[in-house]
Order: sequence, then C-alpha cells, then structure tokens
Amino acid sequence: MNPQSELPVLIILFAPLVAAILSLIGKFLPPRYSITPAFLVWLGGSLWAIYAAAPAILYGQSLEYSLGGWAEPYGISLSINGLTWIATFTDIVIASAAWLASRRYKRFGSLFYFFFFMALFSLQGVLCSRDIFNLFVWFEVLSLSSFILISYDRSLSSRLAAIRYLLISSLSITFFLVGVWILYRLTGSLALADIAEGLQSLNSAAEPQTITAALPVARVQSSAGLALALITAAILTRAAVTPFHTWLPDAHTAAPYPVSALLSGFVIKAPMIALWRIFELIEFPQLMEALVWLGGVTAVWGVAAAMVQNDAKKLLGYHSVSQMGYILAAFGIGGVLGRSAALFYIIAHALFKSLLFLTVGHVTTRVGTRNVYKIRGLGRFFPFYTIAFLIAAASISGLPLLAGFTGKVLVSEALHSHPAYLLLLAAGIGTAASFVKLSAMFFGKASDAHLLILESRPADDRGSKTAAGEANFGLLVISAGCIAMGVVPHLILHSILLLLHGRPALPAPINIGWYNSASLLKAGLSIGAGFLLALFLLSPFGKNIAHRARAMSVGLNGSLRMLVSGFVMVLLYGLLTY
Amino acid sequence: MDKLLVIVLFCVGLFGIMAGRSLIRKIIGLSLLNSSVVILFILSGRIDGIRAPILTQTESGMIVDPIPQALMLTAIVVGLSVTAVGLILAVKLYRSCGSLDIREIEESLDEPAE
Repeated sequence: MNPQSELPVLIILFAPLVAAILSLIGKFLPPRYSITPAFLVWLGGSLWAIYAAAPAILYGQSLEYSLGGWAEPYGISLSINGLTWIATFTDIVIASAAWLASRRYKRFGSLFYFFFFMALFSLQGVLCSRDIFNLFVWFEVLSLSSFILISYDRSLSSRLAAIRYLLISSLSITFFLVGVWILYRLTGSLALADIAEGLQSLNSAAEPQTITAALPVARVQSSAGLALALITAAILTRAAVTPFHTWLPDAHTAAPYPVSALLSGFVIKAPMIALWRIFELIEFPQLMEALVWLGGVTAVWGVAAAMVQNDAKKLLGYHSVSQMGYILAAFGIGGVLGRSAALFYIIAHALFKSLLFLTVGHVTTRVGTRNVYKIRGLGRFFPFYTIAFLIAAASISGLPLLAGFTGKVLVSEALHSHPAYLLLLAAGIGTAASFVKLSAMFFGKASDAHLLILESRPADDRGSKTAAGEANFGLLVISAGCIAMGVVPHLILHSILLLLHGRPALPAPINIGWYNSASLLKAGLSIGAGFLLALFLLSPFGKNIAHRARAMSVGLNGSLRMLVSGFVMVLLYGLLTY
Repeated sequence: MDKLLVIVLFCVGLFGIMAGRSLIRKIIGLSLLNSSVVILFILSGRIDGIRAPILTQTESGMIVDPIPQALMLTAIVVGLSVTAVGLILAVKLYRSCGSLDIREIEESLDEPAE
C-alpha cells in the first residue's frame, strides 16, 4: 500500500469536512472569505481526487486507505472503486448545483453550510466504507445532518417532518445493529470482505472454524439470513423503499429546496450503493428476487400516491419513492446488465430529480404557494426555469432523446421477461400523468394575486445578478447531462462498464437497440395514456377523488406500524430462505 | 436470563415508539431500544473468569473480545446525539403547538378545506 494510492481517498473523504469547518469559521468572518472558499476547497479537492483516482480505477484496481495504519480485519478501511468513483462524480455535480442555488438566498448562513458539508462528508463515508459498523456511523452522521437541514426553515411542518424522519430512521438503524451483532458473532469480523468469506466457509465447510462451531449448520444459516435481511431492510429504509418510505415525502417537502434537491438527488441513492457493496461480496439470490418485486411495488405505490398530491414538492417526493423502485428492481435482477442498468438509472434520476426540485422549488418559493391546482402561467415569468423544468419532466416521463427514456429502455432490457416489469410499465403511465399535471403550473394564465407577488421583489433573495447567474449555470449543466444521457446512451453505458470492471476485465459490450420501434412505441403509448390520465386528474371529478385519497394518509403512528410490519416480513423471509 | 432481559427491553422500547402518542414517550422508547442493543453487544463481549482486555507487561493469557465494547462506545455517543436532536425538536414543537401529542400536532397541520 503505497502512500500515492492513499492520498486520493483521504482527500475525497476529508475535503467536505474541511469545507464544513471553513464554513463554520464564517460565523466570525464576512461570508466572502469563508463560504465561497469553503465551496472551492471542497470542489477542487474532490475533483482532483477523482481525477487522480481514475487511472487506477480504469485498470480495475481500487484505492484503499486504512485508518490509523491498521489493516483489515482489525482496522477500518475505506476504499474507492469504480462504483464509488461514479457515485462520487454524480454527488459532486448535484451538490454543486444545490450549493449554487442556495447562494441566492440570504437566510442560508454559515451554520447551514456547515451542515450541508457535513452531510456531504458523511455521504462520502457511506460511499467509501468497507466496514459494516463504520457504515452505521456514517449513516447516523448523515441522518443527524439531514434532520437539521430539513428543519432549517424552523416551521412547524419542517420540524414535524424532521422528527418523523428521526424516529423512523433511528428505529430502523437499531435493527441494523442487531444484524451487525449476528454477523459479528457468526464470522468474528466487521469488514465486509471477511464477513463474506466467513459466511462462505460456514456454508461450505463441514467443520466451521469459528466461535459458532458448536451450533448446528441449519441454525447458523438461518441466523445469517436473518442478519442479512435486517441489514437490507434498514438500508432500504434510508433508500425510501415501500413500506419503509413514509418519512421521505414529508421530509423532502419541508426541507428548503436546494436541500431537497440534494436529498432526493443523491442522499437516497447512497444507501443503494452501500447495499451494492455488501451484496457484491455476499450471495443471497432469494433476497435479490424479493428486491425485484419490492422494487415493482415501490414504483407503483409511489406513483399512485404522487398522482393525488396537491403540493408540488410532495408530488416530487413521492416520485422519488417510485423511481427508487426502478433502481431497486434493476439492482435485484443483478448480473452485469442489471447492475449497470441500476447505476445508469441512479445517475439519470439524480440528474432529473435534482433539476425538478431546483426549478419547482424556485418558482414555488417565488409564488409563495405550492398548490398544483392554483398556480398557473409561470412560463412567462421564468422562461429559463420553464425550459429546464420541461427537460426534467420529459426525462422522468420517458420522452425519447432524454435521460429517463434511455434509463427505462435499459431497465426493461435488464428485467426483460420478469413479471414484475408489468408493475414498472404501469408506474411509467402514472409518472407521465402526474408530470403533465405538474406542467400545468407553467401554462395558462396566472391569477391576479400571484401576478402581484411575482411582480414585487422577493424579500429573501440577495438580489445578486451573479448569484442568480451561477444558479442558472448549475441548472444548465444538469440539463445538458439529461440530454447527453438521452442522445449518447451507449457512450455513457460503456464508461459505466469501463469504470466498474476496469479495462483488463471488461465484459462483452452490451448491445441494446436504444431507439428501436418497440421502445419508441412503448414510450409513446405510456405517455399518451399518461396524458389522458392527467386530463382525468385535472377534471373536477379527479380532483375530488384526489382530495379523498389525501385524507387517507397515515400519521406517524400508522407509518411506524407499516415500517415494523415491513421489517417483520422481510426478516421472516430472510430467516426462511437463506 | 441475560438474553431475556435484552429481548424484554427491546420490546418495551419498540412498544414505546409505536404505541405512545407523546413525543417524549417515543424518544424514551428510542433510548430504551438503543440501550437494549448496547447491552446485547456488551453481553457478547463478556465471559466469566476471563481477564479484561487491558494490555499489561506481566500478565498474559485469555482476554475477552474488546471489539464489542469499543463499538458500543461509538453507538452510545451516536444514540446520545440522536436523542438530543429529538428532544430539541420535541421542545420546539411543544412551544409552537402547546402539545406533545403527535396526533394533535399532525391535526394542526392538516390542509384547509378547498
């Protein structure tokens, strides 16, 4: 382990921490000398680190750093492999755009940026960690910073959302710890690679060489299944998969919109990356099959709830749940195609969902209401935002030549004849419908009250032309990413494969007819059906149904019951099938 | 016997979070849940008649596994921070709603009729 390979890992991990501390110093300095330098330190450090790490990754190696010089299994080791590299790159793009958008407002002071960078710091930890207990610590630091970012507006709804998230995530992480305990008892290690090896030997060897030698093999296996199920369920709670998703829509609605863009864009994907790192080492095919179905159910459930919302940001929040379903289904299928489809969709969703939150967040903040049924005619006031929004909305609905379309083609190719794919198709129609409904905000004629608000100058805006221009630049970059993923998907897929496997072990190229008649027909039909569904949703009858459906939403106690029964189901499944 | 204590504590905590209506009660439940896991780990790092894992120059022989204790030190700190943030949020909610009852807080937020 030469020092040269350690440096990028160290910098990629600690650049956000340095930025957080620099932002905090800004409490005593004018912001010009702390907040902007903090951002530049983070951006420069991270970009340099991924640049420096790239050559090794392309040759299929991973860069490692052992904390305090203690190698595994005693020490904690962090590493960058191809997966981390791609995720980090996405994270940098999304976080920069969110940071630029937040600079328009006066209310985000140095404390805000401290927690913002602490969240990025812990995210990076989640992406790099190869030790299961260490993963727990990063998850908790990430949630602590998220609680504070979510409740930053100090309003009643944001505090309620934060405490809901707190209770749900802490409850689930307790189950995670129980899983860690079981794995530790079985294998005597916390490093993922050692756990995988230990489980392998427990399964195969006639005489297991660990502390559990006295236990019968069947019992060892069922407890291993239980542990993996517990850990998976806890991670899925962070990734907002049904039935563990109930915290997400409220939290992402109540957070200030740059934070929502970061949370929905990247924070919910990081647990998927962690799950990936666990299951690339440990085999559990039955659980993966369950994840495909869970993904299908999540996609439909999220969309069904999204269609009836009247709050623009809540609608987007439920769509994040639904889109996680696509990612989970592709991930569960596994194999080279399934995993790369999942990663492709993670990047695509990160781009268009953060773009949606940034555009919708900005215009609704400006109008002062988030009611989808009341806001009309914003297109005239925000031409740039309208175009960016339409690119993102068309992407998520699956319009050809944009990121969502190619992502869906890839996912459908991966799932190809799996019955759960029908659920994803149905979800696609609902997605198109609710984005047609949301687009109505930008067309038509604005009401007089809104006109009055739009023509006055907002109180919170710093009024700086540069800040507005920089925020727009962030949107421009993300929109360009959406278009690039739609126009040259084969290049993106090839780079994903190259980074994941390295040049020496590159698998055979995946040939996909991106724009063949079948996929175009499918997209056309689902968008057409979605359009009709949207007309129904916007009719008085549809509004009435939506209103009733909203009244059925469960409170905190209801969602906790749902969560715990979900846990019981998943762990019974793990216990019985491993 | 020890395991039974852990299971009872875990269930009490879970019940507190799920069934309680008061936010304070939920946070106490969370604390109990956390403690039960801490005890679970500590128990597995304790065997009667074997030395504590303290390295000295003279003594040698079997020592108990020090890792669970080290882990739980971290878990306790994390649990404390989560409890602290939870209590702060509960106090703030109480100041603006005049109630700690989760249903009353949720009702005060319900959407006005259209």
